[in-house]
Amino acid sequence: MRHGLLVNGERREVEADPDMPLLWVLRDLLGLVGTKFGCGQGQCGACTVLLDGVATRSCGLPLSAVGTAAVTTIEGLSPDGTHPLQRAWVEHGVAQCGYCQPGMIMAAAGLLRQQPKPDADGVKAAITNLCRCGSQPRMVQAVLAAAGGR
Amino acid sequence: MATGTLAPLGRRDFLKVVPLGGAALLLAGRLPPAEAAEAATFSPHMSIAFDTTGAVRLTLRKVEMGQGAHQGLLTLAAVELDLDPARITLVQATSDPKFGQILTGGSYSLAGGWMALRPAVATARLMFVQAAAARWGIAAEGLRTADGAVLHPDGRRLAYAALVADAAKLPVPDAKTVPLKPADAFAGAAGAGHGSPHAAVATGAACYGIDQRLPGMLFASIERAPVVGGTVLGFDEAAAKAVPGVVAVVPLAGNAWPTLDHVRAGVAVLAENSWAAQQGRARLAVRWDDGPRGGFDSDAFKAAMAARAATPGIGCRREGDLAAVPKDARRVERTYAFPYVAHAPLEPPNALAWVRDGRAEVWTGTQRQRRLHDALVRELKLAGDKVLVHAPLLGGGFGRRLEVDYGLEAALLSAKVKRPVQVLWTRGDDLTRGLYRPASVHRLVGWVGQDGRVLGHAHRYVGESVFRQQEPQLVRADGYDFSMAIPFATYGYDVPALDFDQHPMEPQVPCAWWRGTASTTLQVAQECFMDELAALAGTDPLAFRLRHLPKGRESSWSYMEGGAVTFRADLMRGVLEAAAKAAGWGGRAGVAQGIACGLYDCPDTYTACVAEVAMGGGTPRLSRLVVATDCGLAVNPDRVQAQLVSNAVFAFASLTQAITFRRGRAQQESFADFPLPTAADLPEVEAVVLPSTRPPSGIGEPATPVVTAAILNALAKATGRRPAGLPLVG
Ligand code: FES
Ligand code: FES
Repeated sequence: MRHGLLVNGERREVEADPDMPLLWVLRDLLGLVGTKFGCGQGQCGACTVLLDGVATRSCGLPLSAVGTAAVTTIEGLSPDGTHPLQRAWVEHGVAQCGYCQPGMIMAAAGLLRQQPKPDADGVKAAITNLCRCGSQPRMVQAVLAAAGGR
Repeated sequence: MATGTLAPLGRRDFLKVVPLGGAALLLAGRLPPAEAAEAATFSPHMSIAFDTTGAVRLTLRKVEMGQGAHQGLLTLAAVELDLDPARITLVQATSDPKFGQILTGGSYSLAGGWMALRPAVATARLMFVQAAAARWGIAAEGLRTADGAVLHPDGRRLAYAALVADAAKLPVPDAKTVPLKPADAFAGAAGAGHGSPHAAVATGAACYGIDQRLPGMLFASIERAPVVGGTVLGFDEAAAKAVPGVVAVVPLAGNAWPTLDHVRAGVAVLAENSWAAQQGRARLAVRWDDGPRGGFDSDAFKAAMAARAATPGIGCRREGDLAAVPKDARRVERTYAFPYVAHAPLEPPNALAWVRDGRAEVWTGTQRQRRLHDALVRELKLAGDKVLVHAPLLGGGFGRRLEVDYGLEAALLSAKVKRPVQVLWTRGDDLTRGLYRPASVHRLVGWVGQDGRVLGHAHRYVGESVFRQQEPQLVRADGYDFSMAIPFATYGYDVPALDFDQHPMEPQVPCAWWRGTASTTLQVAQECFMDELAALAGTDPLAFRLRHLPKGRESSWSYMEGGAVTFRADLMRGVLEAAAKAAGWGGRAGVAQGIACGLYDCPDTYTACVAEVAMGGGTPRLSRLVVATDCGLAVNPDRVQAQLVSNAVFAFASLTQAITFRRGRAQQESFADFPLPTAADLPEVEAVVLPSTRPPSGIGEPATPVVTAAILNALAKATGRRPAGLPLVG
């Protein structure tokens, strides 16, 4: 079945099973591999994208449920890697292996749209993404820095 | 697409560019001969090559998995060369035999680079100086280099690029005679994250094994035997094939277990995308013969190990005479048990393979390119020069990627279907069909004299031998496994009589290295027991430790020929005091503190940790961890700091993690029952990196057992219940 999608501001068309989760549409059909697979069970957040600006775990979201919503992936967060979160991420050296980080950044982007000035507890409560490497403490620092424009 | 374009395969090997960090990361195949002939290059060592355009390529035998090895090694090279790190392109070594038996692990990358990479690149700098001196007709001695050029005393300068042709004609001096920069030249040299993948990570451009793509590739999902050694009786091929997008269903026979480089039996579904492969797999309805391991139960095995702990084992370290401990000494005995645990790297195991025309090529996140290479040669019956393994970025390793099973699976499937195949494990596969840190039981006995000093200490370690399964050539005839004896050799308290022994058991399930492996149970038991002894002596745990670490004391123990560990009490005192000071040891109202320390042989990192448990509100809650380390020179202090936090979080996570087996099957299938912490779950973590000019040691894993023990000691203090190992229940 053919589906139209709005991804990172571009109209895309895919031929896919309507049950296929958005994660696999992005990675395997559209070649947008910045969105990661960590569990496929909605538990880790590595697959987080923005759906009309709302952070959403794409591994459990069937293509049929995306509809006309605008999808933003890590590749589309900014044209040149200069989104305040991306800059803060590099400045704070958040990444260890880095694998969980696109999902973390997208979760943070969703948070800052809803709550532009969160405090540390707010960040911790909102970003429940898992990381095996222990990047969580620096993630919190980077989100606060991005929110403060520092 | 995140990968670059592939040059055509065939006789001609290729070079591929993958975006990674500020500098491009090249995956090193053998360079195409045509290209090599074009630009004159100067390469006095396989690690480094300069050409006349100013391009500098540094080939790294270590992979990057978050531990910062690339950044650290780049810093070493840049300082030694007097060259801006931004001008150096990193090249990731493949399995090409010229790179030897490469392995990334043991927290050894920087210590190894300090010993080997520095002289290799310093040789190049020296030869540029010699070439410039000859050009100018002056003596080489005393000529300085800066910013990629040799400086004439009169102010003239010759860039390295202009000296490439001349330097290439010079005889390569013996690396042992080459002058090296002093340690303080490296302090603070780290540039703005050069060599790290940070910038690429933040834009999603960082390219991992799972992101590798080839034209015409198929995506595979494999239903593997739930019991190791099990075999396939039958499956519903038609149902799987009925899923749109499924292209082929291929049974895998696996190989016998136990064996080196085990591959489980299973049935693979290959499809046009990962989702279709997973959907097809879900319809396979495979029927299994569980084989001889179908009755394995981890609780029963734990009981068997506990029984074994009552019998003497193979001696690992005996000093003094336990029989001479006075009869009036007070005695305490404890047994600690630890479960199987999984690595659970966030990037699940995966590999892309292309086997064709008598060649095999694999792209996969691996800590051990060469072992996979050798396994491919063996399993596919290919000549060694027809196989090549490329290692992109790793989405976590922790020892899981020292294994080659997933790379072999992809190659076996590609050979069958004659197309490129990517195998991707699901999280459930990773937790239930993987390899595990062995379970173990530790029995410790200690005697404290009237003066409050430890007079004798015995420790028996019962656990599966990873060597026995994976490196049988390293197991001594009587079964002695030195990897299980290293944390005995690193013990450094001043105790007159020691008796440490081991029962290396036959692996019951596939066993693997796990971020410290033996130390992650043995040192935890050691340090929890130290608190028991302190309690028996009625002494504060910090003061008690310091008392058994007399100033100036050095001791050493050899766990195998050529494998000696030297323990310096002063360095351990240093980290204990630093952690205690930063934490405010002695406590505050409503806070229970625990402390622990340890030496890790990589070659010698000293770590101490203070853990704090907040008592308010009934349930004790771990509120703060302060970790201090002396790992020699911190080449990139920011990465050392990050790794310390990483160790601490890994230790915290391990408190509630366990893989248990019933009827041969692992019971934990997702992060719901093998939990990882979120930011909100974690205590505050403070990392203290002590300044040092000792050569760099490692930091990838040394702190994990120390933090675990400190937490258990703090919880014991808070609750009055002494720990009996892990996982914590209730
Ligand atoms: S992959 Fe979607 S939450 Fe883990
Ligand atoms: S940085 Fe490795 S999983 Fe988060």
